[in-house]
Formats: sequence, C-alpha cells, structure tokens
Amino acid sequence: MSQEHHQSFLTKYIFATDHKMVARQFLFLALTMAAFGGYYAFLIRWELAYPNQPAPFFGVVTPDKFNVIITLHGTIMLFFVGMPLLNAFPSNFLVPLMIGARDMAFPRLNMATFWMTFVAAVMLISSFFVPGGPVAGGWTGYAPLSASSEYTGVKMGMVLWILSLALIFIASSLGGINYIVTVVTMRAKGMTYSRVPLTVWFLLAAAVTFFLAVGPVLAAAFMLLMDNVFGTGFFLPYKGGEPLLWQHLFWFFGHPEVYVLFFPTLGFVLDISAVFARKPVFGKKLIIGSTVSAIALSFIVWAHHMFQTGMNPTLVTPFAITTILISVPFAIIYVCMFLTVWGGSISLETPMLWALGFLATFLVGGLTGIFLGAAGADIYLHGTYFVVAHFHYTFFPSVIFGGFAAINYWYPKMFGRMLNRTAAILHFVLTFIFFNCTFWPLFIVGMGGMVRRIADPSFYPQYSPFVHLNIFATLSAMCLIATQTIFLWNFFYSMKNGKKAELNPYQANTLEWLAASPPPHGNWGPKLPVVTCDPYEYSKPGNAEDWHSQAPSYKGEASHG
Amino acid sequence: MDNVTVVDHVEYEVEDYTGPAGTTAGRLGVWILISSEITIFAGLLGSYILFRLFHPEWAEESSHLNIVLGTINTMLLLTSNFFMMKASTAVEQDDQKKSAKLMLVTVALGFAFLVVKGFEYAAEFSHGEFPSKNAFWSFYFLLTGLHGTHILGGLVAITILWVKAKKNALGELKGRVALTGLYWSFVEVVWIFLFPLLYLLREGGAK
Amino acid sequence: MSVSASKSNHELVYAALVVLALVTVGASFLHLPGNENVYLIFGLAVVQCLLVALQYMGLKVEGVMVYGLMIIPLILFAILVFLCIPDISHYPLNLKL
Repeated sequence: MSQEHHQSFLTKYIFATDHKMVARQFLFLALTMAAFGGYYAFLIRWELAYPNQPAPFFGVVTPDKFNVIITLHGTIMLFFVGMPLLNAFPSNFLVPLMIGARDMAFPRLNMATFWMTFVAAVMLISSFFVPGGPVAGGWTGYAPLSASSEYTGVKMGMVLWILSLALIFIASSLGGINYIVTVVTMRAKGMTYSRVPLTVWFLLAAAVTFFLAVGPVLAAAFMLLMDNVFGTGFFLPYKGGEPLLWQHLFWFFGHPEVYVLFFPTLGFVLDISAVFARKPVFGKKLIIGSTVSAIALSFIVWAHHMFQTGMNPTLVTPFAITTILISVPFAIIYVCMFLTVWGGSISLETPMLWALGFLATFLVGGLTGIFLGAAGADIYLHGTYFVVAHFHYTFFPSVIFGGFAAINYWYPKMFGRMLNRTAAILHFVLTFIFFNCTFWPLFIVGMGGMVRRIADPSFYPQYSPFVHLNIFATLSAMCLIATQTIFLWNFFYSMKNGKKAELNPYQANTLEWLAASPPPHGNWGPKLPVVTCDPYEYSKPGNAEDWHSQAPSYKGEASHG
Repeated sequence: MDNVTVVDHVEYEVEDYTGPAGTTAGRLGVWILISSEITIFAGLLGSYILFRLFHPEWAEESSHLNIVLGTINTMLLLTSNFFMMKASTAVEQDDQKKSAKLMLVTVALGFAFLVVKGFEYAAEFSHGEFPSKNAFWSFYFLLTGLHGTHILGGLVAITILWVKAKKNALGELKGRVALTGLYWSFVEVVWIFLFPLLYLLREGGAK
Repeated sequence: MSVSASKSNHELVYAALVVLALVTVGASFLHLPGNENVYLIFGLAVVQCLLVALQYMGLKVEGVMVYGLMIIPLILFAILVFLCIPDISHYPLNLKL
C-alpha cells in the first residue's frame, strides 16, 4: 500500500489502479453501453408500433432481427449498464471514501475487473461481425432454443454471448470481493459497523448477494457452452437432457440478481433523502434487518419465473408463498424510506427529485409484482406485456432513477464542478413524464393479452385494439431516449464549464464530503479521518448546525501547515 | 506510528488491513473467493445429482471409469496438498529455499495429476466415450475438466512463487504462499467429493 | 495466520486422509443393501473434507465470518438440490422418442 505520486498517462488513465479512476471507467462504459441498449429499445418500440416499416437508422426489423435485438437489449441493459452503473461505479468511487480509506484492498484486482468487463463488452458487440450473427436466444437464454444452433442458426454468436456473460460475472464477483474486504478491513478509526452509511451497507449487500448467487448460472453457462460446442445434451430433450434445469439454475441466480441491481439504489435514496430532508434515516436497524431477510428469502423464490413452464405443479404453491413473503421486507424498507422524508424540511435539489421519483415509480413496480407472484393471476399474465411493464417499473427506477440520483448527487465530488441545475431539472421532469407514458400503456395491453417477444403485432387480429396504445408508447419512448441527450450534454459540458463546487455543497455528514473535490490520489491528507459519530445526525437538538460531520476533527491537506 | 508510508518526505497514515479474528485482507479475500467457487461447483454437482437420481443406469457407465487411475490421482493430489502445507510453514519460519523445494514437489505432483488425467481422457476417447455420448460422460468431462482448469491455475500460481522463493526473493509475496495453499486445499476438497460421485457409485459395488 | 503451532499436525492429518481415501475406495466394493453404500461413502468424504478444512485450511482458528462464508453456500446447495428434485428428478419429460 503506497501512494505512487508519479503516474504516467498509461497508469493514471488506462491501466488505472486508483479506485476513483476505475469508477469513472465503469461509468463511461455503462453510458456507452446504454447508448447501444437505448438504440435497441428504439428499434423494438418502432417495430411494435409500425410493424414491417423500415426503422430510421436501421431498416426493416424482421422477426429474426427482432429476436437478436430483444436479446441484446436485455443483456446489455442488465449486465453492461445495470451492473457497472449501479454496482461497479458507485462501489468503486464511494466505498473507500465513505469509510475513510485511501483505496480499495486490492487495487490491481480492481483494475483487472474493469478490463475484464471491457473485454466482455467487446466480445458481445463483436458478435455482430461473426458468421451467423449475434445471439438470438432471449436474454434469459432458455433451452432448448439456446442449446443448439439448429434452432436459431446462430452458433458463434451464442458462444460469444455465453463467454461474455461468464467473463462479466467473474469480473463482478471479483469486484464484489474487493468491496467486501475493503469494508471489513479498512474502515477508519471510529468507523464501527453501525456508523457505516447505508449506501455502503447496501453496496455490500449487493456484492454479497451476487457472489453467493452467481455460481449456479456459471455452472449452467458451462453446460450450455458444451451443448452448443461439443454436442452434449444437458438441456436438449432429444439427447436425454432437461431444458428446465437451465431455467432452475438461471433463475436461482436471476432472482437474487434483480436485488443486486436494486440494493444500491435503496442506499442512495436513503442517504440522499436524509441529506435533503435534513432528517435521520427512519428505522435504520429495521432497514438493515429487512435487507438481510430479503437476501435470505431471495434465494428461495426463483421458480416464480417458472410457474407456466410445465414444472412439477407441486412446486408452484411453495414458491408463490415465498414470493408473497418477500414483499414484506421490501415493503418495510419502502415505508421507512417514505417516513425518512415525511416531516422533513425538504429542499428539492436534483438528487432529491430523482429520489422522490424513485419512490413514486417503484411503488407501481413493487405492487404489480404481487400480481405476478400470485400464481393464479400469473397464469394469465405470464409472458404478456404486463410482465414487461412490471420489470421496467422496477429496473428503470432502480438503474436509471437511482443511477441519475447518484450521478447528480456525487458529481460535485467526482469532478469538482456543479451540474447545470436547469438542465438537470428539465432532464428529470421529462424523463419522469416520458418514462410513465412509455410503460404505463404496457400494463394495459398486457392485461389485454398482448404477449411479449413477438415482432409483428399486426399479424394477430386480437391485438388490433392496442394499436394506438402501442404507437403512444413508442412515441413516448422516442421522446424518453431523446431526453437523455440533455443529460449527456450537461454531464460533459459541466465537467469543464460548470460552476466550481465547494467542498460540501449539500452540507452532508458522510466522510466523502471531507475530501477535496475531486479527491487526490490517496484521498486524504497525511492523517486519516477519525470518526466520532453516526452519519445521520441531521437536525439533532443541541447541535449548532442542522448537520454534523462524521469526522469533525479532520483537517485535510487544505489546512496542512 | 506503525502504519505509515512516506511520500515526498511527508508521513501518510495508512490502514492496517486486519479483519476479524486476526484474518488479513488477503486471506479474507481468498475465503470469499472459495465461498463463491463452492457455489459454482455446487451448481454443477447439484445438477449431476439431480440427473443421477433419475438415471440409475449411470452406475453402469461409471464402472467404465478407471478406478485405479482415479485412486492414484487422489493420492497424488493429497500428497501435493501436504507438501504445499509444509511449504507454507517453511515460509513462516523464514526458510525460503526450503519452501522452494517443497513447492517444487507440490507442482510436480499436481502436474502428474494432470498427466494421469490426460491418459484417462485418451483411453476414454479411444473407447468412444466422448462428452456427447450421453449425459453421464458430459458431466464427467465437464466436472473433471473444470477441476483440472482450477489445478492448472493453481500450478501457475505456485510456480511463480517457487521461482521467487528459489532466489530468496519472495519479499512482499511471502503471505501469498499461505493464501495459495488455502486455494490449493480447496481444490483438494472439490476432488474429495468429485471422486466418489463419479468413480465410486458404480455397478458391481455401490449404486 | 500462523499454522506453525500445528506443524506436527500436518503429517498426522496426511496419514489420516490417505487411510480414509483408501477406505472409501474399498467401501465402494462392498455390496451393502439399499442406499447404505452411498451414505457410507459420502460420510467418509465429509470426514475427509472436514479434516482438510479445519486443519489444512485453518478453519479452526477463523472467526464467525469465515464459518458463515463456508456454511451459507452449502445451505444454498441444499436448497437448490432439494427444491429441484420434485421437478428435475421425479417429473421427467415423458417423451416417446
């Protein structure tokens, strides 16, 4: 552990071991892949609203191309945007700063995980240029469609997809190990576990859930790879295999994975709410207890994704019960979030807007999940756009609203400048409106019976009542995508031209605000901060101010000498 | 001040990297890695068990495996693990040269394991037993293949440490010997379960 | 993390592991009725595993966190296998091929 002051361009920007630079690398990777993911979303919505008409910047979206596009949209948004944006980027940037450490426990491993993720992304994109084209088995890769190239005509593309996912899973697992070991072994003096901010707790929860859940899907990936390449029959019925085994293994991972993509946002929203409502977080111990029980429960709910697969009907009831049960801890956390804000002196800065937007939209997502978890209703709703709307009303608030909340909140610390406030608020308002306009109609068409994963709805006369809703959703989606350019402009423009940020523009308690903006290599001055209190002492009676830094005695390099 | 690093004549306080029960950061990291690896092999072995429960005829297939070579491999890996433990102790006693010799034996035995496995594969291929023959063989090749890959990775790591220890140049890497030994023991544990599951539940014996 | 206190332990553990491994192989030649053979062989495997884990890997001296790290994946393994048995093992596809 040392502070190398003399960094060449290569070691500072490319093969960076400094956690803040690695965080930026993950952020840029996530934003780049989001452009791809958003482009595919546009193509999907175009085809659904204007079937068989050439899409701008693409051409006609034929059914086989549609299959490729929905697969890549899902894979990219979840694994190449969701995980880097919500797990890798915040963990890397925030964890050492918030616990008062100088860097991660294993900086070179950190660098390796970024480059592994980068290679995985390149592998996925490169699948466009191989014979047979890119993967077309759906992001869930259900066998037997995915297990043999004779069904989709895609072989190399499938192999690249499997290897790319295996690589990013391994990278994320190693990254998680880094974050966990850092928090366990490198907390500053006085930073007991109960004084660790909830953002860090939730990032840890995500890391732990991930490394415990990823094993079976890696196992399944190797088996699928062998099916595709060596002609084995793990998942092919005519070779004595069992297609449902893939689904069991995949969803055993898949369900905890959605919580991996959800926990960080809970942490951000709670911390942001405390700061902008000038109130302590409500029920911190209750929240942590609920999180632990949610993690435990998340490992026994997976087959609710499989109610309609023809699996043994005896399994349906137990999984429906556990699925309903798991809504309890999340409801508790949600109520605590709400009560954190309730009665506070709220200032509607942009991060708070995103946090409140999350609370509003996630409620819809969470409640509609109960419809799907009730196996009886799921008979009708499975495979329809109701499911699509449900998971967009959960993923979008988590990944996009939560991601933007984090970026807006910590931007001053990352880049030393403030984002343009008008543009940021406009971005939020338009995103909120267009998001709801895009996905709310999908609940309606889903309940009306429109199924997912079909390219041309006009082929089915029973979907003709939904034409206008589909067109409305598509136009809203295009506006939603266009709105993100406001953010992109703001993000890059403010890096050089934004108002210079003071050290602690929001008067927050947590440690990262004590470091310079942006923090130098090694984060802190000669002395590490010494923590003396809880991170949520806002508006405490008896304190001079309505906030109280966790390490009030820390002076830093600014006042050194 | 104990944990201090000096840069440009200024003393910077540094963290001490100790975890619960005196575990170091590196050791905790390897334990978590092992925990994750257990879930991977759990997924594979679990799938094998699930299939096996409704394929009682696999007992017959299993008897085609060479139990003599399998037992020899078990002994090779056990002994390799033992020497790695001794190498670890030697490093703790600051005897890098001795530890280098012990690590060399570790690598040799581990390499011998892979060679024997290679012979087994060759013999199986010559009998037409390929991964695509039936699901038992698919699992056999996948499980032993993945385990073999882990052995190869371990051998690479131990070889690198051997090269350094030979020249008494371990330096900061001293702690890595024990950590690699921890990983190597885990690879041993996987084999302790793989061997019975694949080789010992066969026709003419256990079902 | 010092294992030098149990230095002589290594040889003893090694001897025990060799014996157990040979006994396990021998057990596989027995013709015990029913599933006893499977239980016996697995019992022996578990004992070998515990020896390696507690002694060689030093699990004996580790704290609660590491014990948790080892036990939780085993629980997850049990969950995965037991909940899938009704489906994969006892509800196979009824294809007449």
